[in-house]
Amino acid sequence: MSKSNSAYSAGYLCCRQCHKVLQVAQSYPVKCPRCHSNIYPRVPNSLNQSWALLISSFLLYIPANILPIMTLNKGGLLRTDTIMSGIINLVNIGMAPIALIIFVASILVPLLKMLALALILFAVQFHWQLNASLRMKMYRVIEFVGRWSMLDIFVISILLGIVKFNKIASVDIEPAALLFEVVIILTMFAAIRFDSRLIWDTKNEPS
Amino acid sequence: MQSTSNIGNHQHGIEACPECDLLLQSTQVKEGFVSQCPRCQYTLEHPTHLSIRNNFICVFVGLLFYFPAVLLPILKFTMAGHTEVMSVIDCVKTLFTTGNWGIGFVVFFSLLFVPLVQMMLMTFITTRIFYKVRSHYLAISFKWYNYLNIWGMLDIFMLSIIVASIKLRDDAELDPGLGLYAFILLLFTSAMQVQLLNKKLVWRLIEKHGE
Repeated sequence: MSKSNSAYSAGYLCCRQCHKVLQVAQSYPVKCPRCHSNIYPRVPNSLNQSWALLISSFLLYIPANILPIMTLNKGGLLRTDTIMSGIINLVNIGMAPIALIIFVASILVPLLKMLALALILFAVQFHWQLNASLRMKMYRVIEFVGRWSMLDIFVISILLGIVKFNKIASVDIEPAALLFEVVIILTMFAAIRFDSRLIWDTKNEPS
Repeated sequence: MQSTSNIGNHQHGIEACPECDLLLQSTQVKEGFVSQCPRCQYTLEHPTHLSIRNNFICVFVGLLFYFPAVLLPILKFTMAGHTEVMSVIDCVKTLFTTGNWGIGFVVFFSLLFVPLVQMMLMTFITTRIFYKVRSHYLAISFKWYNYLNIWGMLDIFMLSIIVASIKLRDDAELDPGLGLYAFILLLFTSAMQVQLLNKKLVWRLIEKHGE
């Protein structure tokens, strides 16, 4: 176990909101004199909250992929798509680049994101000796790409908005769209609630 | 390990990385340079020239383009001789009238509410700091500005416009509306705002003018 060089073990606290440094206290929370946030050495129950949000997002991810996401009515011809069948249809009609963008944003990114976050949380929970800077990079990527999964939701909203009163075509939004949106929001919260300082903590530090 | 007895009062030179809690010595960072945490590569500070003033200009321009971007039509859609226009506000309205409350709310929140509130908060913060007016609300405003940061989704909406127009390319004729140009400028100013913002400087100034 490497020797710890965290600010906390040296007797300092860092405010997570405004990054002000204070001295460790006897009882928590401490009020930050600069931004009035509550300061704890590490965000309390951060791991549990992250787990709860991640597991619920994973459970919702299953129906979000099985149920249809939208119905397109083109001149009386109805076509109901799930996320995956919509992507396959785009490939079939020769729009492979767009299909790739939507595949990455709505299938690959959410799935990899949930797996990577689960790996990070497991590693913290069971003190796995994994490369901390690699895990930190993974966490940063998760934080950054998470919002981009909203792409499909916006595309559907635009399609609905654009063909609203048209007599030839119409778009209906199906339940999976809402489920998928909730999945993305929950995973974003799961990443926010996780205190990244836990990645760097060694066994003898607070949790 | 947790004793505070031998620390003394050297708090001025001490800093900690907010992302990995590494203990650091504070350093003066020159304009145009970046200071990073040596352990986790977190960007600690990235000062730019006249960042407060330029940030205000950015937000001001952004506010000018916000309403055109939201209210004017983004796309003109022609199908079988029938032309429709769509703006962001139409999009949200259609979502609500067709009963998609959940999606409508998120689209409203991430495209209309967050960008406007962020710009208003930033206007408040930068003008107060620039004219050195004291206010209790500076700290809470900047805290909320930072909370809201990841929930604004103008950039993603821009990509969605491109994806949707390519998807509809075969079925209908699409033309850009005036709103699209305003939207692109709004997106540009909001990206600049993030680039120019020196959070550390703002917090230091809030500490000075806050109470």
